[in-house]
Amino acid sequence: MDQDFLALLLVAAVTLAGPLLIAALGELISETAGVINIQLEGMMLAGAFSGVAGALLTQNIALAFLAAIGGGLAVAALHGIACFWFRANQIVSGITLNILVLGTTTFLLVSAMGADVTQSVVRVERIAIPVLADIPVIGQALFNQNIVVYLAMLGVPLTWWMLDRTPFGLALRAAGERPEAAESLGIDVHRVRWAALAICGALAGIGGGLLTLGGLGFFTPGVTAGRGFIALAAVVFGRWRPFGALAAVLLFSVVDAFQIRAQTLGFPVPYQLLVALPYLVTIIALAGLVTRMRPPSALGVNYER
Amino acid sequence: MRPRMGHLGLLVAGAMALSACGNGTATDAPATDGSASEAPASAPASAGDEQLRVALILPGETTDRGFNATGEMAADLIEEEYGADVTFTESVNPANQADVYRQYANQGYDLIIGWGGQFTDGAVEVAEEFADTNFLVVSSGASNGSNLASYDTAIEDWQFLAGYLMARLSETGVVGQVSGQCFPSTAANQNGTRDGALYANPDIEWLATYTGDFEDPTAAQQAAQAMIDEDADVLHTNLNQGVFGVVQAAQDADGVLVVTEWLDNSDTAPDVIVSTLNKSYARFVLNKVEELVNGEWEGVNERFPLPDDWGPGVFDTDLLPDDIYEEILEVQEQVASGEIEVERDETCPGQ
Repeated sequence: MDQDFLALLLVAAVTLAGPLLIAALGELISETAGVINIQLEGMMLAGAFSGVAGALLTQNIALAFLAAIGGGLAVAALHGIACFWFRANQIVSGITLNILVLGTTTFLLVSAMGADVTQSVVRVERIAIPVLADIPVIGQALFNQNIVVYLAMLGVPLTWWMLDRTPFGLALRAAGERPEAAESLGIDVHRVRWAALAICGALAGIGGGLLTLGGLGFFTPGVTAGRGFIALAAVVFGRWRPFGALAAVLLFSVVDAFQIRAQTLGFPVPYQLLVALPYLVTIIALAGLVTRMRPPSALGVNYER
Repeated sequence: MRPRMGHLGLLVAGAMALSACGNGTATDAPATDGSASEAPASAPASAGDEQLRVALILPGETTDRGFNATGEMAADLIEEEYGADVTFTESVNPANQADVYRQYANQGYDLIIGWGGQFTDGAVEVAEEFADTNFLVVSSGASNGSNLASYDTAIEDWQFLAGYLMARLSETGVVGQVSGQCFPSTAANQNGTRDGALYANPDIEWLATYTGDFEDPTAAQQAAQAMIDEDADVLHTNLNQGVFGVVQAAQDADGVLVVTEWLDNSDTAPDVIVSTLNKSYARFVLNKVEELVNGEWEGVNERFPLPDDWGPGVFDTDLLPDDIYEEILEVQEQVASGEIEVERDETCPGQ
């Protein structure tokens, strides 16, 4: 493996990791507060769709990402209404929303754009950071990215700080661990959970938007192709910690980028094994590291006053 | 999943709605007894016998300007030729195929067509449960001697042309194909392209990837990028919606061309789509429907070679040099006549 190969591999890996990481951070924040989002995939898909729709309507990348946030928030709102207001089971609501979003976005796409599904839109541009981008091997992957990927990288320590060092983080954790106790200390559990869910919707929307507005420049039905579920799993494998989620997402993406290249180079291995490799490696590596893998106590349990 | 009614289905629904209106307004004219049960029976346009009902199961959306669009073409052909009531369901997840087959069988469809080899298992399973329903899977080899049949094309005949074209267009001497999943017919597809490329230029460097998902454009884009990183300058695909990711990767690179498949879609990216391989399973579906209508249905597998009246095997574009286009047509003639014998190789990687 020469340096070029590694550098290009890492560029591909970071491209694949960006959308996963943003969605995983959102899900991490939400699960910390006790709200599980099986519809993370649907949130991403809604963001991927509304981002492209926003870009088509405004030709403005910032507004397009705002639209992507709106898409994710809309799905979050439905989940909140179902679970917080009507006390629906969070898992059931999540599964239902995934199906609803897939159907709705596909229907809107076909009805709005007709056969021309591949209409290309503006994409968010890469900004090379001087000097850093020229570092061998990692320079292009880490320092010649678009603003959203940079923000995602900053989001990891920021999420850690927010969860561990701020009153809001404490409230989130309290709402996810002991909602009754939190309530007795004057924390409005419902409000905190709504906030966590909204953050998750917004971030998953951006993650989906990054998929379409970053790499592809177009939307196709079901374009997220299961990446929401990978982000969901990354939170678990990352032991509900921001840097853990980052590790899970990066490991998955590096192995995924590698397996594609391994096929290109003609590794004499069944391709099914190579396609499954990122999943296998992530499970094995992170299952081995797990010391105390305990989800928030009240995860998925609706709080009733 | 979004069930779509065929045009005739809509007509029937419309006719029923109209007759309902008629009943509502003409209150004093006593309607004939049992008009409700008569209406559906008299609505179908085809005279005489009970109307043929056909359902298609598609892996993706018919808006893909590719494989699924040819599925819609097949549906239209059956509707036009036989006045059949044709319905299809798009974006069926192969994991749910048995349920979808079962639902259509329960609804009394005469013929259920799985559009793609990935819909083989469900047909095999459900064909046993519904002896009076006929099942047909395209791009598959399955059959049970009674109500399950399949057909396939000698896809390597067509792919050979794509590979030949790619090798002739390449300046770097590296070409590649991004595919979705590997099963016998898709392996024959990819290996056929390879053989055509090697026939045109024995020194060509051939790259091949299966992303595992025909529909995922992000994975396809990354696979194409990996090939471009290895200096490939002409790419081909065996994907559904994933193809758009490959086209995007080509557009983001310098001097990379794409040969797409199925239907002429070069207008979607005229800067990189140099040609489209003109192939389709649609035309051959009529052979099986004809059998069914004439009571000659056989539960067997058939494979159709490249016919000599197929028309140009690749679509011409502004990007495609005239001499190469003419050359491809000559090679096509040689393949159709058997002068060039294309071997079918169903080997997947690592086998």
